[in-house]
Amino acid sequence: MSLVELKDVSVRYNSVVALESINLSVKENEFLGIIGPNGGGKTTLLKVLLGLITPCEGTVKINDDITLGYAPQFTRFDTDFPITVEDVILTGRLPSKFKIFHRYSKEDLSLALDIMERVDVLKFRHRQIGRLSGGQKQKVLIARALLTDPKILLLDEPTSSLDSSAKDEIYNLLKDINKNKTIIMVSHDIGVISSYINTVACLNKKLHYHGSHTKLNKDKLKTAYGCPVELIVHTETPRTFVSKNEEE
Amino acid sequence: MIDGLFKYTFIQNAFIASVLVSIICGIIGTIIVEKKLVMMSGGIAHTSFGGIGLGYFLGIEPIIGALIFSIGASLGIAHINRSTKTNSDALVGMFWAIGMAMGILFIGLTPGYPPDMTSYLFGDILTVSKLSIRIMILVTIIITSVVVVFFNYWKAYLFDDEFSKTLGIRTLFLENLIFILIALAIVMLIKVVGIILVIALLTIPPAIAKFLTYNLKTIMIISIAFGMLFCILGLYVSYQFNIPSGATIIIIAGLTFFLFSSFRKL
Ligand SMILES: Nc1ncnc2c1ncn2[C@@H]1O[C@H](COP(=O)(O)OP(=O)(O)OP(=O)(O)O)[C@@H](O)[C@H]1O
Ligand SMILES: [Mg+2]
Repeated sequence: MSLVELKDVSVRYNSVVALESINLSVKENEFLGIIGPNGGGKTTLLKVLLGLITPCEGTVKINDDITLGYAPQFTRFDTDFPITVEDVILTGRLPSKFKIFHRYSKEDLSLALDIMERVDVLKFRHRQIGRLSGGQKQKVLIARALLTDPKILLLDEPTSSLDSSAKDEIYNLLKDINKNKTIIMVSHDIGVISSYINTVACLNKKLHYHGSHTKLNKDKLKTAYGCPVELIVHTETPRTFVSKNEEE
Repeated sequence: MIDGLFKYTFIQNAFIASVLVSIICGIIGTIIVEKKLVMMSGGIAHTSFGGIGLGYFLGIEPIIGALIFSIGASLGIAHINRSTKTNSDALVGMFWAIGMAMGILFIGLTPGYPPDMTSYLFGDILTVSKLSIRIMILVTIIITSVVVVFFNYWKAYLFDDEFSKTLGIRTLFLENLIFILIALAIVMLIKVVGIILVIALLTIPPAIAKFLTYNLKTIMIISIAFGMLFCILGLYVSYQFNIPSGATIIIIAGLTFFLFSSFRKL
């Protein structure tokens, strides 16, 4: 059963082609790692899934009842805004239907505290978001996404400025969450994530590969990275390709 | 002496207007500063000059013309921004100048003596009418309640509209709503400080408040308090020395800002 299906999706920003005929389906409880070079369209793909960008061609199929949690790439973040860490994370619990005089409940708060504890930002909860280090801010974004308790969690380079022990903690946490959730994660840490993810997608405008990462050993992943498709297509294990994602 | 002043209705009106304007400024000013809509708000204010000119030309209340133009401009800028992703600064600049040009054109075309535009350009809090006060009360109530009732939504939207959208919140509705509120606020402020000075009264109080706190709600409240201080003090000083009220208010606000920012550096 696939939760998400993209068919021939293309996205252009004015004249720049960001994505070209992407076919991708994500199954329930999949842990998908998306890799690819800078400007390869990874963020764009997540935004298409989230409904933030409407593709100019193709269709996106996601059931209405599927909730999505998003941890954005942290570079586009305005951190001068007067809001505390706790309030940022709590927005994950904001109901989508407008509620007048909405207040966060005790339950909201205790869930938030719990997640803050798990990603280790509890001691900063009353600090203004801008007064954290890069890695700490990233943890806040991850916590906010986790608090939405979504069916599918989409993370855009969630660990790019975390130290290696924090990375391990986050990945272990994600692996735990993956038991009953689907996770789609953009990452450049191919080496590290390969022990957590179960499928990988190589994206560089086109989707060059989507399938089991175990069939793709580490060296090949490294070459695949920023790769023209040929590099992967001519591996010894062509059987592993999901047929509909094949380019030729 | 202040007791004596209050005998005059126009002083009473000016006082009430000061309080109302400060509330509007504190709330909307904080929003435009935090959402980085300062240039856009300046653009909306100047575009509304076209509406004032049109009002004179058609013989209707100029403020109604200003209201139509400012709402049109703010929704227009927001819409064009969204659909074309063009550089909004350039767009705002265009609205800004074209609005002013239309105003001047309409006034030129209006038969008879050209009306005195200085009160629209620089404001005159001492000439605020009873009707204006009533409208201001209404607008203040609308702005305050819209912001208070959905406060958590505003906070989430202002901080990160994309994330709010992924939660399924109707951010387009919030965006249009906030642009309408900004337009309403600006038109209310025109009477008091004028088109040219509006932006200062919107941005200086939150800028000072940000020295003191990083809580959105507190910034709004402190901004309201500073707004009242500037308006009432400015009103008093301008009355005593018989100098233009709008400019006095802005100068006092500006001086206070520099005082705070230099204290901060010490
Ligand atoms: N708002 C935009 N306007 C115009 N072009 C854009 C915009 N956003 C992205 N692009 C272009 O689309 C392409 C894909 O961008 P995207 O942000 O999806 O890449 P990415 O894979 O996430 O890169 P990175 O690893 O640097 O985060 C790039 O060529 C980029 O220049
Ligand atoms: Mg990206």
